Amino acid sequence: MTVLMEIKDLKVHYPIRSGFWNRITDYVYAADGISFTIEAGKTYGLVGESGSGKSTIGKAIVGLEKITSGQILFNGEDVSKPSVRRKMKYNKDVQMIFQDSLSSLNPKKTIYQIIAEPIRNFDKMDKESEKQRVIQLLDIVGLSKNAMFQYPHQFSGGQRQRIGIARAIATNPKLIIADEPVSALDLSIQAQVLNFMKRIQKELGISFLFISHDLGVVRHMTKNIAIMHLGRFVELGTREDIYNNPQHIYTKRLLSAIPQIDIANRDANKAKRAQVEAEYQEKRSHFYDQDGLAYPMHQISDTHWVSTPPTNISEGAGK
Amino acid sequence: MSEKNETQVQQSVQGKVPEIKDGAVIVETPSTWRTIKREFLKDKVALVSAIILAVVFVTVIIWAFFIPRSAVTNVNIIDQYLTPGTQGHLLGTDEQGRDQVKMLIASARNSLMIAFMISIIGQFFGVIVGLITGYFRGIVDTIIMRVIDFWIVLPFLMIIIVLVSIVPKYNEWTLIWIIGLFAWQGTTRLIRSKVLSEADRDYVRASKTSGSSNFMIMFREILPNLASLIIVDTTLNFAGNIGIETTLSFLGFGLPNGTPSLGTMVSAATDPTVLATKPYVWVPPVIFIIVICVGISFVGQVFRRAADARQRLG
Amino acid sequence: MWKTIIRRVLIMIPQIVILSALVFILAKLMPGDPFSGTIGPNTDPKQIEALKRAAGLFDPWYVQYWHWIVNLFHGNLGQSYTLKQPVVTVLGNRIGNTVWLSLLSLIVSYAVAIPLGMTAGRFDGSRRDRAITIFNYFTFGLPTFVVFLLGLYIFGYQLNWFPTSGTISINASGFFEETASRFYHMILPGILAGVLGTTSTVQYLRSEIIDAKSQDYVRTARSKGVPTNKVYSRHIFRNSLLPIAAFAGFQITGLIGGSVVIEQVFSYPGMGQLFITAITSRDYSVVTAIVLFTGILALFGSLLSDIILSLVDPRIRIE
Repeated sequence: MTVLMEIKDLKVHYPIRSGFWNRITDYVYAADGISFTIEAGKTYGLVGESGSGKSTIGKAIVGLEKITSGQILFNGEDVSKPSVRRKMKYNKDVQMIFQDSLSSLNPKKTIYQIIAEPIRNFDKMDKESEKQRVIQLLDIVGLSKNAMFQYPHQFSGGQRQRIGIARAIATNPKLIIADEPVSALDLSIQAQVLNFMKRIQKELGISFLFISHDLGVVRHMTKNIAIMHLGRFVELGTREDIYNNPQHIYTKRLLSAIPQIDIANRDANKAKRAQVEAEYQEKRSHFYDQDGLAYPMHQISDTHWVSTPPTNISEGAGK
Repeated sequence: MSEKNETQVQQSVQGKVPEIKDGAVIVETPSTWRTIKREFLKDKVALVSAIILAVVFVTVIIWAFFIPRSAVTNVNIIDQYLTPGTQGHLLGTDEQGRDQVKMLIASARNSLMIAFMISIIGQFFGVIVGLITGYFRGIVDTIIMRVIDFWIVLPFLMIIIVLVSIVPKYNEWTLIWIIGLFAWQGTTRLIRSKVLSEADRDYVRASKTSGSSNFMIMFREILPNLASLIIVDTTLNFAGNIGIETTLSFLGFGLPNGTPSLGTMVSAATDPTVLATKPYVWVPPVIFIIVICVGISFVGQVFRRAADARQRLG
Repeated sequence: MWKTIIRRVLIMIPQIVILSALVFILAKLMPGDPFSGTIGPNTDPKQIEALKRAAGLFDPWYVQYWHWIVNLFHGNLGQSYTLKQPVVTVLGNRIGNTVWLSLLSLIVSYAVAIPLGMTAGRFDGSRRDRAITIFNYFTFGLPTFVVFLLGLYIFGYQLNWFPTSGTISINASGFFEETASRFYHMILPGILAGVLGTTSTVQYLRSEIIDAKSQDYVRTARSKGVPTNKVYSRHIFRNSLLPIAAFAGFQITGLIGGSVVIEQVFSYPGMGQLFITAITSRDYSVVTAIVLFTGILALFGSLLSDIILSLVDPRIRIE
């Protein structure tokens, strides 16, 4: 497998200004020492509660967020500087799908103008082939070519998100960051859009970084999952590692929070949730340092990494 | 680029599919104009204002072409202060014996044109500065906004009068630029606050990742979304600028001699005898100013409501 | 709180410095110098030269500026060459008239705007609200001089209700008669300027009341059985009182700036009229003093407004 992207010790800190002179008095550690690798053609899931910094990582990778320190290597080249990104047409290869499909499409532009924007900027095409490309993209996402002349507000939420996908894949990117792409959609539409993204990912061989707060959705989408809490990774592994053998108390807590339709064992499930919560409260000081932040991760198997206190490896293997 | 094709405006009606030629592109959302139309139909006062304004503007601009310059510069003391209706002067004559109707049309043309130019200058700088400061934020934004806060408080009428009286080689263009100097700050504030919220929307981020430059994002992505706001602001400022120009001309610091203005016509009333005994000299321009200014603000309010409704529909 | 106020006050310092520099530049741009009036055609040019040198007119600009500022602090604003009096004396004779007229306008403005705004807000959408809104368009859109002229013509010349010029009748003698006469002269311009100044207060009050109507504290008060009138006068109005008071700062600066127009129309000998006579007779030391004085007054007005507003609404505090 070829490594497409390597993220090394990525930090994004926002200054907090206060006091009489508006000096910087503290920082928000939105992403604090994140490292991971993305291989070509694979899908990754990034899970965390809101405010955990997962969107910040996505935006930093795609170049929308200024990074404080660390490196983002794309095909071995450091792309953390805007000038480098511009020169190598970085965003031709790395694209993004946004959470709010309405806000991500300019209300005053036609669908044609929206989808053609990255093509015009990155692939110099003549008018006719540009038009053919847009029609082709609309066809890929299952919309008729008449959609070209309509405006975003004339479409439903699911259709708009598919237009967003068409724009993201317009320049044949190698990596797409999908930032909560379905959380603004109705449950019934979610599955439709998810399946659709999965199909595109397979057919076009694009790497996906799938950012979500919903473990159920991520499980459906990817084999490789990272769990994030308060700006740091707490656990990283395959689907099996995370779902069947969670090591970190936060991961366990997240897993127990997935709603289950299992009426027969309702009370048992409830008791289990209470137990997980009790464990979380009890071991909190053990798994987090005195600032309440997670420790660096250690490898516990070929694929499985977990954040543990520096001295002793946790014995907290559940079940 | 798509500009070439933008002449071909098509309405996309669901069901009926428009013929596609060379990536033809629709430039206007029909709903904006429909909303304005609906608002006008609901607001009869504004509808009447709009019709009156349209008639007045067209009349003034066309008629003014047929008024020779001599009609506003010639002095004929014998015909001074003729009452309305005498010797074919429908509204009488002024102190110099000039026909009041012709004076009114020529003055109105000048006042409207001057106010229009000032509005264009004010909007141009206001929109550009507002876009730049709102989009880039940071220290430049802070400094510019502080300067504007300061500028807006200044007694601008007095400063304009001082500038008007000390500028050498004074003509109507100097007046336009001097008033223009004080005409863009409000627009900048308005545009900036809207840009601040627009720049935080995902379509701007999507444009960034689509490789568009900041310049293109500002002018091709964000600017169209400000259109309704700019229309409202231009309309209301236009009325305001008519007020400023006529006020200055009334005080004697507006349009230079030989370029009649509604304000100059009204200034005949600074003579108490004219004010008290010859209302036909100054009342017509006063009524003209009232009709224009109030009419424009009625129409502007309709635009504003239409723009708000559009925002609410989101 | 105190931090905000102190910071706002500190901003005044550079503002006043910049204002004084602007006025100084304007003064330098004005043709003529303090001697143009005192010197006859027979005066020896050498003597003029010596006088100018003694007055520092050949010093570099920063030295001149410094002397100018020092003189300002000593209350020395120069000499009015048309009136042959110190500028301070000339101004002192006029300021009172302008301030009293502005105060009266301010009181009228609130007396008219508060009931109108309350009515429009309370019965929004009604016929009354509609009428008030239309009235508001008039006060917003009309140039003031038009209204002043019509008012003077109708109430002064046609109906003879009010005097048409000046501040005091020549026949008035004794304190009470003089005061009454002064007041009588102010009524018409005061009422007209006050009514024209209602726009922003009416608009603010109207939207504030419409907002407040749907808020919980109002609903609670009403459901507790507080009579409707009391809800409006006690609860809603009280909350809007301070922001409205804050407008006074801006209003006063507007009124004093606008004194140029009103005093010209009503031949009312205040600062505005003095300004126009001074500028037409090229008495530039008086012009400079008036611009500077009005500018500083305006800065203090906005300072006052900002401080009151920051007390009420934490959102507008300076960061």
